[in-house]
Amino acid sequence: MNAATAHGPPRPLLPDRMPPVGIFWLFVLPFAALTAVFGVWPIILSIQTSFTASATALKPNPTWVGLANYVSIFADPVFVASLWRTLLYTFLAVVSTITLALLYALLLHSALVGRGRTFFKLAIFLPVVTPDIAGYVVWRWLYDQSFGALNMALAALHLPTFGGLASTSTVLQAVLIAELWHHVGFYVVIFLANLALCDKGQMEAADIDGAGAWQKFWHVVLPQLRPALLVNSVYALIQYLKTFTVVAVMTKGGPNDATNFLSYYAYQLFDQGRYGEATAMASVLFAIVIVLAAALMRLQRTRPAG
Amino acid sequence: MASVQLQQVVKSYDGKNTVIHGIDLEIAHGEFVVFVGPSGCGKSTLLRMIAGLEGISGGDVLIDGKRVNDEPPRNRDIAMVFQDYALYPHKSLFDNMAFGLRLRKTPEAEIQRRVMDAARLLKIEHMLERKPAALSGGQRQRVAIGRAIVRQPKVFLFDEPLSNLDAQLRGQMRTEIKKLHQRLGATIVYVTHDQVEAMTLADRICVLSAGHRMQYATPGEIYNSPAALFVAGFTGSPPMNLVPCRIEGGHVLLGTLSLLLPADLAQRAASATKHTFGIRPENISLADNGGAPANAAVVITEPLGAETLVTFQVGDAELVARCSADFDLKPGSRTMVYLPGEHMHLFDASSGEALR
Repeated sequence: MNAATAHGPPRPLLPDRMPPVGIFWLFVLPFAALTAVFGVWPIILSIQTSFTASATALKPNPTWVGLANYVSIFADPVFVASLWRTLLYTFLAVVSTITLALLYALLLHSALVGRGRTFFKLAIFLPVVTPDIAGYVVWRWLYDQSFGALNMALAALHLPTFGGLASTSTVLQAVLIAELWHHVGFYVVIFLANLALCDKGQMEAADIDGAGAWQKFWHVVLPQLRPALLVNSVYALIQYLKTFTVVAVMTKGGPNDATNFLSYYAYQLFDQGRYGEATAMASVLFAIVIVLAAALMRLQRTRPAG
Repeated sequence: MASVQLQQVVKSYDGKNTVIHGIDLEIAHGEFVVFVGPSGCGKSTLLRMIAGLEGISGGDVLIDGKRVNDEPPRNRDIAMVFQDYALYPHKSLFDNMAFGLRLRKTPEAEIQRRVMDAARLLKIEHMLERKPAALSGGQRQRVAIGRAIVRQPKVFLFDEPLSNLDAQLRGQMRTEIKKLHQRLGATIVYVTHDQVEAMTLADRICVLSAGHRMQYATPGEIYNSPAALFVAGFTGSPPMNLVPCRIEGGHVLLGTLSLLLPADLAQRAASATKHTFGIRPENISLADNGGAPANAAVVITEPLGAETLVTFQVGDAELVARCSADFDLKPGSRTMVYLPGEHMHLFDASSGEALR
C-alpha cells in the first residue's frame, strides 16, 4: 500500500461544497483587512486628531477642542489662499493632463505614427516609471536661472528666458510641466486600452454617413472613450488635489507661497507640531477629494454609455 | 438610383497577397445584385471597395459613370448596412437615422419627415426615442436599414445584414428587404454566404470563389445552367449531384451503367478529356418521362415532410433524388429511375467549367 492510497485522494484546496459567498469572503477578507488597517484606520485617526488640541494630540488622553482647529485654519489667510491655489492648480492640471493624454493616445492609435509606435509609447511611459524625486531634481536643474539647460536653449534661440521656479508668475506652469512629464504616460496607457476596444464598425458607418475626422472624433470616438475619461479624470483629480512631492522637491512651497498647496502646507504645520490644524487641513482636503470624485463619477454615470 | 460598374477590379495586400482578381461587373439602375460565395471568397471585400472602405489596388469602380476610386466613402453617395448593425450606441434611434442627414446640413423639417417615413416603413416609429441597447437584433437591423433609407443614396450596400439573426427572423427580414426594393426601386448590392438569400432576393447573382467571378447571371440561369462545377455545387439544397464519369460513344458511363447523352452535349463533351456528370435531385424521376432509364438501388431515405430525399446507387455512383412524400421503398430495394437528357450537365473535370 503506497502513501497515496493510505491517505486517500489528495484533498482539494477548497472544500467541495463551499458556498459562493464563502469563496467571496475568502478572497476579499485579506485585502479588506489590509485596507482597514493601513487605509481606513489612519484616516479615522487623522479626523479624530483634528478635533484635539495640538499640544495633547499625540498623548493617550488628548484634550478635545471641538471645531476649534477648523475655525482656526479657515481664519488663516495662508490656508484659504492655499485652498484656492490647490483647486486652481488641480483644475488646470486635470484638464491639461486629460487633454494631452488623449491627444497623445489618439496620435499613437492613428496610422500617422507607423513604425515609430513602440518608441513613442516607451517615450511617454518611461517618466512614469522613473522615481519621481529623481525626475523633479532634474527638472529643478533644467529650470535653474543661472545654469539651467532650458534658459540656455532659449537664449541660444534668441527667445525670452523662462522664469521657471524663481518667479511667482511662472512657477505654477513650471511645476505643472514637470508633473505632466511625470504623469501623462499613465493616462495615455488607459486611453490606449480603451481605444483598442473601440468599435471599428461605428467608424466605418460614420465614414459612410459622411462624417469628417472631427465629427467622427466627436460623435463616435469620444462617446466610446467615456470609461477611460471617467477613470482618468477621477484619478487625475485625486492625484493633483494631493500634489506634494513636486513641491517638496522643487519649490518648498515658494516663491512667496506661490506653490504652497494644501498637502504641503499641512505638512509644514505638522512639522511644527501643529497636529490639530494639520489634520484639520488633511480632513478638509479628504472631504474635497471625496465630494469632487463622487460628483465627477455621478456626472459621467448619469449619461448612459449605451 | 444609379448604376455601378467594376472594371478589372483588383485588390491585393502588400502588392503580393491578391484577394480579388480582376473582376468585371455591370450593375444596372435599380437592380438588386447579390454577391454570393463561401467565406473568404472576397465578396465583402468587393462590396467594401464599392463603399470606399477598402482601397482599390487595380482597375476602376464607377458609380453612375463616374470613377470613384479615389473618393472617400462620404463622396460616393452610398449607404451601407453592416452585419453587426454598427449603430451609434449613445444616440437614440432617431438620432442614429438622422446623423447622416444632419452632417449634410439637411433642414430639420426634412430630416423629421424622412426619418418618420422610414420608421413607419420599417415599423419602428414607436421606439425612436430609445437607444440601440434596448432593442433586439431584428429591431437593430431595421434601424440600420432605416439609417440607409433616409439618406436616399444612389446605391444601397448590404454586407451580410441577416447573418446575426435567428432563422425565423432572417426569413421575415428577407421578405421585407425584397418588398423594400420593390417599393424604393433602388440599386442594391447585397453580400451573403447564404445561397437561399441570394436566390430569393437577387435580380442577378454574382457567384465568387477565391476572388474570381465564377458566374454573373439571373438566379434562374445560375440554377439551371451553372457555368462551373463550383456554382453547381454551391446552389440548391441539396446541391446538384456531381459524379466523375467517362464519355464513350455518345454515352456517359457511371461504372457499369451507361446513359445516352443528348447529341449536342455528347458533341461538346469532346472538348474535354476528364468529365464530371451532374444532375439536380429534382430532375431524377421515378416515372418514365422519356429520360435515360437506369437501374437503381435505394441506399437511404430522408423524409422531410413535404418531400423525401432518396439516395440511390446508380452504376457506381450515389445520386440524391427529390421524391414525393409518399415514397415508401425500403433501403436495399430496387427500382428504375429516369434521367432526362435536357437536365444533364457535363463539366470539364480539370478546369471545372461547364461544357455548354
